Amino acid sequence: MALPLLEIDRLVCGYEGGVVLEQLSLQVGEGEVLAVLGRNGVGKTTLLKTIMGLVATSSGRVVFSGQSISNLEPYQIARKGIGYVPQGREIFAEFTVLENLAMGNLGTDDFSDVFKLFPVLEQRQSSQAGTFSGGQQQQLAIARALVARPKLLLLDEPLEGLQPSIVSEISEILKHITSTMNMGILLVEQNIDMVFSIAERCIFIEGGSVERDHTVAELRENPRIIEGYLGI
Amino acid sequence: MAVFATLILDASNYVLILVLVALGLAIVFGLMNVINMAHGEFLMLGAYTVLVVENVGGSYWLGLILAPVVVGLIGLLIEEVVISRIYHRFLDTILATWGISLLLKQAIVLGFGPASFSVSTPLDTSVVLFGAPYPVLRLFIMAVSLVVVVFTFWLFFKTRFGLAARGVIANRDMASCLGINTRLLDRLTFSYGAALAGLAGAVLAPLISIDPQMGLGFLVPAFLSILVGGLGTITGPIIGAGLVGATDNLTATLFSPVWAQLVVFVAAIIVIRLFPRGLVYSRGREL
Repeated sequence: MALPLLEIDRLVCGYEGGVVLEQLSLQVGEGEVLAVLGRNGVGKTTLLKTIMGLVATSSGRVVFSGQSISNLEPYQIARKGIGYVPQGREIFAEFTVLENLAMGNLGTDDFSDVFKLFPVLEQRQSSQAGTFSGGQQQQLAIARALVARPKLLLLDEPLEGLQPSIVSEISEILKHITSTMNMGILLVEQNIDMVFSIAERCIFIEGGSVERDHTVAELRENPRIIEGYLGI
Repeated sequence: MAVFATLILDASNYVLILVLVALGLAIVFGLMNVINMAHGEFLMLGAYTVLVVENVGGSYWLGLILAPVVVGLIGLLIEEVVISRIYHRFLDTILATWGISLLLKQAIVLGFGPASFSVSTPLDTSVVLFGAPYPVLRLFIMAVSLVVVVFTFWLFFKTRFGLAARGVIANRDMASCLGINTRLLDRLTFSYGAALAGLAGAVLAPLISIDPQMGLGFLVPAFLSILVGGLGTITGPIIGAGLVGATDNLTATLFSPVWAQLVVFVAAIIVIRLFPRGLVYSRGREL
């Protein structure tokens, strides 16, 4: 069996106030889209931040492409091939689109690939990112992560706070990305329709660890699981 | 006309020196959130570098070239040994850099004694400008300062290094998550800020007495320039230095240095009261 792209083994991490994730284990294969589900505050964002090195690992291992990345600096983790689209986008509001994209990969000026995915960014490449709508900012945040051609993309609530028309637009782009690029994706998202449209597998975090692990097909057949965990 | 021209040229000279000092201070604060209380001592080290070079038989020009290099390397060492261990602890960085300032001053006293020194005056000629003779050295200092300001703008606004640095200032964690080595940028930026102070000390060396206390006289107006101009920008300290330096120099010349200090502090308090973030400020922390 091929090695997983990302393997997390009995991860314990948290903040000064206490432990958030306890003995959490998961795997993401190459090209696989894994959705992380759970109620607010269970540690989904903390999980992504820990993978990126923004939250320190107390114990356990995070292995990416066969190499341990536990407690590396975020820039070292990014350079190994992990792209991160954080909750709230965190684009550089006072930078232009081109400058934001350049931040994603300082070694290139060629953004033609992401411009094909996000034509609006090419049209407004000299505009200040802070003047963009929420949807355009989200497109920019995703594009910025993609310019470095990551092997694994961490997406933290990419549809949060977007109006329905933009939600479907972003969903389509993410579907296109997952179907055309052999990129693993770890997706934290509350929008179940979108999760079902692009993910192959879903895990549910409860009490700091993975409580359930199902394929999307299983969840479609048994919607009570979703209802039970997310209260929807 | 000639008197007026000299007055304006002298004020411009002081403003541009202040810009040189304030710029390094502002860059270090902007990128690293460190208020460097030892910045005046970096300036002092620049002047002493020129003194040492001359004492061993080198020229002023060699000292001018070596000063930013030497002080930049000292800055790099201080960043690595002290500052890097106390990032994110704002008050600690103030105390630590204050301690470094005392240490550097005492080291100079031990090495050179408390007395004042002077170095040779290069470019010891004058040119007639607007009907009055004006020292070429002062014009040279103004030119150096302008070149440094232009270079700094080019570095921060036209290069990938500058883009990365501005990204770190705007959002350090996000920049790091995009693969930018924030530690390396911290080192380079602190070193660059120190080198600017060293250069300022070297260009000033022929104009003033070189002694262990010389840095303080520039640190206070440099801080005022940043507060008046705006924290976290490059343009802010330049505008701040323009206002503080011109007010100080013109008032001192027309009235007295005591009045100059009084007017500068009162004006600074009024500006800070009316514009708490300074005259030029950005919504995010960005150069």
